[in-house]
Amino acid sequence: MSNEVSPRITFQNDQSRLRLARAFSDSGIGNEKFSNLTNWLTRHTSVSAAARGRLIRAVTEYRLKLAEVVDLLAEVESTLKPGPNAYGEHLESVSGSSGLPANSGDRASDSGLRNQTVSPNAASAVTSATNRPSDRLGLIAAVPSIRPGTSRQVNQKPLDQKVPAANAMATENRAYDREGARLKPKIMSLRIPNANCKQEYKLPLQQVLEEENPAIKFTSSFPSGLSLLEGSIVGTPSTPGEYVISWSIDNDLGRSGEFLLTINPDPRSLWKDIPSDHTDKYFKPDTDKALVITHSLGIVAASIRGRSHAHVGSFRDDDFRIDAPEENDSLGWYIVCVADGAGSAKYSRRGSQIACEETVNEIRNILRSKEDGVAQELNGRSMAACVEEKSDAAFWTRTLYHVFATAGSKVLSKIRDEAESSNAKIKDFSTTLLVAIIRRTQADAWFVGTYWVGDGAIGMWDKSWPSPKLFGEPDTGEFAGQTSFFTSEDFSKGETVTRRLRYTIVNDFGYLALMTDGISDAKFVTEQMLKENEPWALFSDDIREIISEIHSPESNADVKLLNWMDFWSPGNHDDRTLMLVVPKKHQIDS
Amino acid sequence: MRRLPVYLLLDTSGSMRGEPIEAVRSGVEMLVGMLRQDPYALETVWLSIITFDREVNIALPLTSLESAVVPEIKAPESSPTHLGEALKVLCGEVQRDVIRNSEGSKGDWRPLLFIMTDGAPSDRAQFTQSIVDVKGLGFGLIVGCAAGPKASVDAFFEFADHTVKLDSLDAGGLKSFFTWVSASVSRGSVSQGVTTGPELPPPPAELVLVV
Repeated sequence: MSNEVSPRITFQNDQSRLRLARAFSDSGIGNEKFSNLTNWLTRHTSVSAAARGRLIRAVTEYRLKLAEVVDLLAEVESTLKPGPNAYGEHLESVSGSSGLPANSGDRASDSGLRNQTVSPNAASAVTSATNRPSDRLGLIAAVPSIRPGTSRQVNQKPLDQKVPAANAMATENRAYDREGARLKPKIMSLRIPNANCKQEYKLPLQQVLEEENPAIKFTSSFPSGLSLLEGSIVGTPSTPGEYVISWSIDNDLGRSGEFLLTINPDPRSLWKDIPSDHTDKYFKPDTDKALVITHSLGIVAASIRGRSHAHVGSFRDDDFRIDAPEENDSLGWYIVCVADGAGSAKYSRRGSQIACEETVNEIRNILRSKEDGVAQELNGRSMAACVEEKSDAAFWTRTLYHVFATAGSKVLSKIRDEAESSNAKIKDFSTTLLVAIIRRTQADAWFVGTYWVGDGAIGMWDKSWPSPKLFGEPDTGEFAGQTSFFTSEDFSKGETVTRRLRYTIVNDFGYLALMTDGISDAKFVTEQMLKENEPWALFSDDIREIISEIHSPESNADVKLLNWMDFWSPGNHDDRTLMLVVPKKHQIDS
Repeated sequence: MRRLPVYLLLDTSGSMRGEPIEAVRSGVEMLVGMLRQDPYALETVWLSIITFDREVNIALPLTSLESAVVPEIKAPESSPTHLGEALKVLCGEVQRDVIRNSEGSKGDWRPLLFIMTDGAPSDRAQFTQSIVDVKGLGFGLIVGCAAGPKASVDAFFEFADHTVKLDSLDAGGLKSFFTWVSASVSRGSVSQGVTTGPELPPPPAELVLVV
C-alpha cells in the first residue's frame, strides 16, 4: 500500500549486476541467494537508499551474512512501509506480484523523501556508504514514484531539515512520513571504543549518545562478559570479535541504532609455540640452562626462545657459556659469555654459539699460555690485586685489550671460516657478545674484566652500594633493533676495542649479571635506567629467590631461573638470556 | 615497549571515487582485523592512516592497533593527487611521533610505510622535495602500490624500496594488496635488520612486483 512513497532501486546495467554478483561470490554468500536477492531488488519492490547503502556496505565488507543483509533491509523497509512487507517473503517469491513497473520511478519529484538519506555531517566509520551509494557498485536510485491519489499528501509535506547533532562518528538515516512528521531516525551506527579481552571495560552511554540519562533499551544481547550497569556498558569481555549491539531509546526522538564494538583478543592467547626444526644443521634447543658451583662462586644461567620465534617455529638465537676453574687450577679464572644472534641474520644462532664457545676457549688458552707475556702480566697482577690497584687504568686496559682483542680476532676468523664453509657471509652469523673474566685475588678481592659489544647489559649490584656498576654502554642505534655486532668488529682498530673494555676490583658484590636485550629491554627499558639504582633494586627483588638458592646444597637455581624467565611483558618477545654470578657467602637477602 | 609504527598513505583523489574507495576502506578494515589476530602486531603495531587528494588528511593519527578505529575514507568529487604534500605531512608526523633511542627512551622499531595510488603525483615540485626528506627518516621499509591502469610506477622508483603494481582497482585486487600489507607488517620487526629492512613475503598473484 505504501510503495508509492519509497524510492526504488534499479540496476544501471548488466555490468553493475555482475559486479555486485562478484562481490557476493567473493564474500562466500553464494550465487543462488544472490540472484534471489537481486531479482527482488530489481523487479519487485522499493528499498530505501539507506538500505541500499547498507547492503552495498555489507557486501563490500565481506562480513555480513546474507541473513543479516536481509534483516537490515527489512528493518528499513518496515519503517517506510508498515505492513506485511517482510523481506523474506519477497525473497521467496521472486517471480511474485505487486511491484511497480521497473522504470516508473524515473519521474523526478521533489518529494521530501529524497532527503531521507541526507546525512549532512556524516562522518560515520560504519555507514558512510549511504552517502554516495550510487557510486559504489553502479546502482542507481530511482526517485520516488508517486501514485495517483497520494501525490497531494506528498507534495504537502513540509520538510524538517533540521537534523539533530549527530555524534561525530554516527550517521543517522532519517525518514519522514507522508505528513512530514519525523519518523524514527533509523540505523544510527556508532563505533564505540575498542575493548580488550580479559580487561575491564567501561563506557558511559551518556558519553556516546550525547543524551542525559538515556532510557536505552537493548534489543540484542551483549558480548559475553559485558552488561549494562548504571548507564554504562561495563564488564570484562571474554570473547574477542566484532559485535553489533542494537538499541533503541524510548523518548520523543525515538532514536535507535547499534553499537559496533571490537573486542581485541588477548595477545597471550594468540601466541603459538611451534617447535623449531631439530633436523636443521644449526639446530639449537629452544631452552638451555646451567648451574656451576665452586667453593667461592655460584653461576647460574638460562636462555629461552622468544615468543616471536616460538610463534613461527624459528630458533633461539641467544647463547651462553660458563667456564669455571677446576679445583686444582691455580689461576682460578672464570670466563663467562652471553650472546644474542641478530634476528635478521639467518645463521645468527650459530654465530652466537661459536662466539660463546670459542671466546671461552681462546681466552682460556691465552690466559694459560706461558709464552704470552702480556697475559702473564695480567695473571700476576690481577692475582695479587687489591681494591687500591684499581686506579692503574693504563695497566688494566693494556692487558685486557691484549686478551680480548687477541681472542676476539681469533673467534672472528673461526666464524668467518664457518661462514665460508656454509657458503654464507659473516653477516649471516651476526651476533652480539658480552664477556666477563673473573677471579678471586689473594687480597680477598674480586677482579672483573669485561668486553661488551652490542645491546643487552653487564652490570654488578650490591644492596649496600649507592648505584650499580654498569660495564659499558649498550650499543644502540637510532631505532630499536639496531645495534653493533661482534661480527662487525675491527680488531685492528684499537680505539673501538678499548671503548668496549671495563674492569673493576671490589672486595665484595651482590651479583654480576650478564643479559641479552630480551631481559634488559623488559626489565630496564632504557639505557638511563640501567645506570640507576632503583631499577636494579627492583630487578634484584625479582630474582631474589634464585640468588639465595644458588648456594644451597640441593640447588635448582637453574630450573628456577628458567621458569622465572618466562615472565610476561607485552611487546617484549625477544629471546632472553640471563647469567648471574654470585659470590658464595653472599646473599642479597637482608 | 618497542612500537612498530606503520604508516598508510592512501590516494583519495577523484578517480578513486566509487567502488575503489569503498574497496580501500574495506581493505583497511580487513588489514586491521587481520593484524589483530597476530599477537606480535597486536602488542607492537601502531597505525597511522593519511589520505591525500587535493587536501592531505590525517585520518588516523599514530594509534595503537589495540585502540585503532578505522576512520571513514572518502574521495571528493574531483581532485588532483597531491602525493608530494602527503609525504610532507608524513615527514612531520614521523618526526613528531616516532621515538628514537636515547638515554631515557626506548626507541621504536624503524617505521614502515605503505603507499597506494591510482595515479601519479600532481604536485611534482613538492614531490621531488618531499622524497628527499622521506629518505632521511629511517624507514625500515617503503612500499609503493600503483593500483589500476592509470597508476604510474615511476614515482615510486624514486624512493620506494619495493614497488608493486595492481592491474585493476577492483575489490579483489585491493583486498589482496591489503592482505599482503598485513603479512608484511606481521613479519615486520621480526625480521627487521639493522641496515636492511624486513624481508617481504611473496606478493599474491594479483600484485606484480616491479623491479
